[in-house]
Amino acid sequence: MPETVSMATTGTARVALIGNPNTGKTTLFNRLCGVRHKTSNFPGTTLESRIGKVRAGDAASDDVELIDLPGVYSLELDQVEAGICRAVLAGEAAPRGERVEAPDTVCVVLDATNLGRNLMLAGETLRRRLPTVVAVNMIDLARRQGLALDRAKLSERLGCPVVLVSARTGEGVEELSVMLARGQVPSRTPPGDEAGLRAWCDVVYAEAGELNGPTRAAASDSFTDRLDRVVTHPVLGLLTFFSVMAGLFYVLFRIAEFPMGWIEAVFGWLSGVINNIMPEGVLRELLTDGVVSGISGTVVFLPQICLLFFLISLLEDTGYLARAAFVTDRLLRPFGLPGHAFVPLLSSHACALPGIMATRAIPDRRERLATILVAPFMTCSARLPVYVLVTTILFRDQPALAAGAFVGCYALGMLAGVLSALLARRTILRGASRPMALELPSYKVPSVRTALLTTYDRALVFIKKAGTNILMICIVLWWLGAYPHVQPPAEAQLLAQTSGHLIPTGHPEEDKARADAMMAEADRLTAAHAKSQSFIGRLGRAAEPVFRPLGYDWQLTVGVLASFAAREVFVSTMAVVLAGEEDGEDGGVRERMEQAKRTDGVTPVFAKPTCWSLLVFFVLAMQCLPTLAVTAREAGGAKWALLQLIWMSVLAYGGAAVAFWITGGWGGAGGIS
Amino acid sequence: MLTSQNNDGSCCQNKDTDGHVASIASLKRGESGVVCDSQLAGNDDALLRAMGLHPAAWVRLCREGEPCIVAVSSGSPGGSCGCGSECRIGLARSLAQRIFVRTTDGAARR
Amino acid sequence: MSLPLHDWQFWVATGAFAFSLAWLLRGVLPIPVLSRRAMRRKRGERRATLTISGKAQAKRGRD
Repeated sequence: MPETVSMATTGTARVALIGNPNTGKTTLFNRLCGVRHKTSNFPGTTLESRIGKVRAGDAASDDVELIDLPGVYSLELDQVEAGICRAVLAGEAAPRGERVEAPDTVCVVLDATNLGRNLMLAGETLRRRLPTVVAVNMIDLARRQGLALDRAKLSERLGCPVVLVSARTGEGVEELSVMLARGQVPSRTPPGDEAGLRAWCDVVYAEAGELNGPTRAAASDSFTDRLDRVVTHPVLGLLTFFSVMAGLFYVLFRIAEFPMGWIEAVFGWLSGVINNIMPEGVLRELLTDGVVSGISGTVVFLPQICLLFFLISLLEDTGYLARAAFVTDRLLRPFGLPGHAFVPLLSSHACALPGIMATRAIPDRRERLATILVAPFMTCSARLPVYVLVTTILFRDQPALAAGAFVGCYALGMLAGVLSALLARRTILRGASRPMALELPSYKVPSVRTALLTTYDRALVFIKKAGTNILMICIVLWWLGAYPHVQPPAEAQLLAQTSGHLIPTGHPEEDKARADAMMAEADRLTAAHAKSQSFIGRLGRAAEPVFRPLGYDWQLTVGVLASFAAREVFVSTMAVVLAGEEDGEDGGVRERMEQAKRTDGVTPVFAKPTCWSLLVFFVLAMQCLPTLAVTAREAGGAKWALLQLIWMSVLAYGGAAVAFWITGGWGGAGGIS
Repeated sequence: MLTSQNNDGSCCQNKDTDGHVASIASLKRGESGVVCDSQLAGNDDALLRAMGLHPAAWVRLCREGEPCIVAVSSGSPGGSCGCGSECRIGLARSLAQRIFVRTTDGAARR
Repeated sequence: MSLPLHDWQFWVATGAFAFSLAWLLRGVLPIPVLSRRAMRRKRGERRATLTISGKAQAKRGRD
């Protein structure tokens, strides 16, 4: 292969960061770039790449651009990740938005505690004859194990600069950042055949590595062995797994409720400020009910999403998640899903959007598709307000039963998800499951810094992908609910007139309170009437026959139709339709919603069979446009998103109808006949 | 890549009397050996070799069953065998049954 | 039933509604102004074709 030397033509020098998985490449990238990075995709794939800026000198002009390539065990494997790395090093591919040319320097990250294997990738990279710098990471761990590396000898054998670093402690990182701009074409060329390369690696390691007495790895091996026997045990491993998950969810819901409450209060205050500043009119409503509502509808979920990803990142860094993948493989394999699927499915409990994106870690395409298709069955944060509303109505003053129903909803979603995956794997996604082979990283204390940066990345993705869509959805729904304008109903006009002509009782305060109550009631009737006559209300009336078998009247149909775009809007839509006010969390509004009647004036809107039907419907239905969009992108076509929508809608409809029928909805008390 | 029609590792070359051939799945906890053969399909074989389970790699069984966990060493500082450069790999039993090592104790096991 | 056509605020709100609807449908409808492809071409990005070992890859499902 002829020598190739690439030079930067214009702009910042580019460095490609390559290494085996579990070498601490991500931690090193974070240490070098911090928050100065963006995330992009490689064209034609769903592989993510992070591109960051490293300060390689005193001036900003000394910055180099660092491209984090996917972790690979070898450049010669027939894998998408290896193909991407080969193409980037050959100057034939680059992350979307970046110049397509060979990097100016390659930085190979090696694990000092597993140098023998890591040197294979170093050898394959050196053969590319690009300016190279080698970073030997985890040097602190290697020292603790009694290993010493002769940097000069290693550099001489590899033929390029070598820096010993610890991304965790920061040792050597500053020197590395300077060396990134000083890579040199290797002065040696390793052998090209696998056997020759392996022999070369053995020689290099034997010469450059030194044992300072007996290795101290034996004690940590013993600890690792004992811990592995517990966490991968058929019974203890499952118990450990469920305990960890229970703890995670407890922390998630217990802690996240505080910032969620603060966020709701802030946006409530903001709406109040806008109402005070702006004159009454359509624009004010657009801002408060469309824009502010849309933004708060996204931001309010950020605490749960951030906390979940923070905790998952910490768990991953401890080394436990790799073991848990084997434990969950036993649980998920009978349904055609791999152990790798459990992190995406777990993430989907906060929001399906990042959960679906996390399926990129699943190596087998069929297994990944199956996971993508069923991830939205996991109960996400947006469903919770609906569950709270309905279970409160169903089990008033019975919190234990309400909690049981809550847990039942989670279980139903998981069950529907795994059974749907089984069906998919037996029909449209047939094929043998790939047996798992996974490197198990050593147990270690997790890095909070890495977890925070991962959380920051995921939060940005959520805001950009879901946030913009939810904002647009809220504006569209607001307009459909605001127009056309209609005259207030006769009852409201009468109340308004009467309130101004009340016979004084001699108690001015009581008289004022009565007049105010009448005006408030007139306003509520006007708002409810306006909603019923709006475009979305008319749509609800037209679609009512479709949803009548589920026990929904036109009012509930309006709420369900609106929530097909985003589940979050169901409670506020029902609050306006039934109680004439936006705030579905308000106790008084909630009571009015509970007591609201259908057009017959007798049957409650939220009759018990209808409540059960609503719960089942919201557990199973696909009601999230951003998730559909991400499904189409990650699965490789709109047909998968369409399949997901149709399947979940059919399941939701059927399940809700059965729930309504079983609970006495047809001809029973509180039902319809 | 060495291949065999029989699932007993009988194709392993250098069948001298210093050691017996067994699949990783049949090893007991703590037993060790050197990888000598693999009956895996192309992509699986290439991946596991790249992960460290290549001919002449030293393995020690840390956990039996499903998954089977092996500590793998390749190369060593100062030339001594089986120390200093190690990783752990979890393997599904179906994969562990198809990778053969030459042990130094016990009869050949399937 | 009426739409307040005389009200300028109605037109601002309707413009916001139309933009939002187009944004949500942009993956489906060919709306050049909001098309992601058109935006990329405008920014002067270069399209890149993935090749592996110098061979162009046939389009298959995204992996």
